[in-house]
Amino acid sequence: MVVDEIKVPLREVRRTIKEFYDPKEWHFITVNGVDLGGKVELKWFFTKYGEREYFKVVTSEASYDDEIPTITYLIPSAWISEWELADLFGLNVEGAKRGLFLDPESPQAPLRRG
Amino acid sequence: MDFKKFRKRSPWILHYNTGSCNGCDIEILACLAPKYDVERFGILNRGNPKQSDILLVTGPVTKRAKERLLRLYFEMPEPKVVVAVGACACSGGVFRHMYNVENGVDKVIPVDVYVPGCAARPEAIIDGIVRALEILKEKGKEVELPHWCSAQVKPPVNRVKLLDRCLEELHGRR
Amino acid sequence: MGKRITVPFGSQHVALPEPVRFVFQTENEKIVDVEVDVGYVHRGIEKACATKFKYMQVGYVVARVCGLCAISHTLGYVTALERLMGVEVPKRALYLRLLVSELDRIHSHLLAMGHTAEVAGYENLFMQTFRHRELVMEMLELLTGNRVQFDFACPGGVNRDLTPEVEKVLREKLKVLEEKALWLRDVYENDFSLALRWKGTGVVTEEMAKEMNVVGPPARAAGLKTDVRAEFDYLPFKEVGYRMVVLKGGSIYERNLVRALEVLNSIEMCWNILDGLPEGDIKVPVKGLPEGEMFVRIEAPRGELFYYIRGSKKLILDRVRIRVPTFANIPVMKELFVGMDYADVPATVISFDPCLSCTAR
Repeated sequence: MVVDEIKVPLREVRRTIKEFYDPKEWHFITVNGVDLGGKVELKWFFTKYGEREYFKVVTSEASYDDEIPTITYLIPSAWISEWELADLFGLNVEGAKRGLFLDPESPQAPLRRG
Repeated sequence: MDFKKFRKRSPWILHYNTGSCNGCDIEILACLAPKYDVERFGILNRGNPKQSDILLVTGPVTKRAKERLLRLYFEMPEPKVVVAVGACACSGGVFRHMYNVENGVDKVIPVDVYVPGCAARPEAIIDGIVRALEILKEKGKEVELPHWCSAQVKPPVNRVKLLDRCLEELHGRR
Repeated sequence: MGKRITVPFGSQHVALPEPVRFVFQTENEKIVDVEVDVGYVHRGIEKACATKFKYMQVGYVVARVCGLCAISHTLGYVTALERLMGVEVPKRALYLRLLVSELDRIHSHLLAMGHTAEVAGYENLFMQTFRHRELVMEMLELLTGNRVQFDFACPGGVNRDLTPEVEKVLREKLKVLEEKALWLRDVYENDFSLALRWKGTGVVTEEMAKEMNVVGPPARAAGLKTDVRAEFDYLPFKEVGYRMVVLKGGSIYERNLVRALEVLNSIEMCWNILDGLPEGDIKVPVKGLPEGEMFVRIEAPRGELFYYIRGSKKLILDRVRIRVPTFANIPVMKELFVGMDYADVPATVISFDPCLSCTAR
């Protein structure tokens, strides 16, 4: 398994993805968050069509109050992953609506730790 | 006309998934298909609550599905029977105490028959439906309310008002 | 120009086996706007995997994400865990996993095909497809002990071996199934009225598929060459005669044809597995605690399934992330509906084979 990991600050995420992303070659998998206590580690996963076990991962960190940049300008189908992130981590993602999964009476931001 | 005699011969079922893993749902579908074939009891699957007699519920009832389940229940005419299909519909199963579930159908609406199993086997579901038919024969026209609802039922029943009252209590219960 | 009319579709609808809600804004028959609500079955499995269950138990919990592709979810988790902990799985166990995963694919595809036929108003074909699907269910029951939730794979191998008696019955049933599958392929390919109804309806073009990151049979029906079975080595697919099925067109007709052809390919793979099943252990013990992170892609019947796990030398994992195929296909469905006739909606939704309990988890 080949993993090409790029670590960037949060404000450069969109520019980094824009540099390499081409819908004809790259397949966007998902954006994933992991709670590290006080901050969230974000990973954007990409893979290439037709290549074996190859991943490109863009990694960044965000605090609970940071505004996460959206990549729906580049990848229109990313909205659903971003909304999920906003919902389950209670993060402030640009342009995301709350309530994809959670109801007002469910606990808010369930995937945060502690 | 005495409809009571014929009711048992052609019960229609309504199926609602309130958060199950689809395992029980495809087993219900398998029941409707040739090998198990519940149509020999006169049973048809119609997606209309107003024409249905048996409500098959699968899943542990998520917070969002709760209100819809109650609405479906009130839209069905009496007499009606509720069958909880699968371990998670009976008690919450593996999803018990997860943050978005209510631990079983009987927390929201009255349940008459419990069908266990993960996933419930078609034979068990047929058994549950046949049991439900016996209960359907005995039941009258009285409106049944969920156990947590304190409303009084006096004929003539205004279903819309009753539903509003129940929903109010459901949301007040938080 | 007519007035806008709001038409709700779901959460309870006769065409839908599971709750998803689309709210369509229509002008006359044409849809001009659509909203989608997928959260009816959100239970919170990801949270429970990272707080309630130990890492050896999580495989059985994630199987309950979805009953249709139960083996895929377990496989995804188990493969990630084995890669993370460096466990070498015996060859026989890998082949048995492959056998169950392909049988699971057959039953899921047949379900999807039958359901599309029912929604098109062809109840007879629905009944026929389900009748032949029962053969697969019987095989799965013989092999794993349960019809739907098998819990077959476990960390380090599989839970149940294939005995010679079972193998004999499997071969008999597989022979019957192959005949029936060929017949079904013929019907889905050549039936005049079905082709008339489905061809050119709900078209996903190749560009659209690439742009919206479509996965699974809908992507392959659109001509996009993507299949995780060819892109990720989680099971020995190459050794058992796997072929990628790619068609051009991208309408409901092609989606069903891709499924029918994949069923035939899966049956061929099952024959090859039964013929060349290696001897040996079916399970190795898994010791130690998981540390670090790992992600895998699996081809579930509906498309690419993505698992991300992360542990820090504790019995309970820090994070389990599940990205399911339907979750990736919801955006393209939403895009597709705008400009479509309302009458085509149920067939199009079902032809994507949506699995909402996967999507919401």
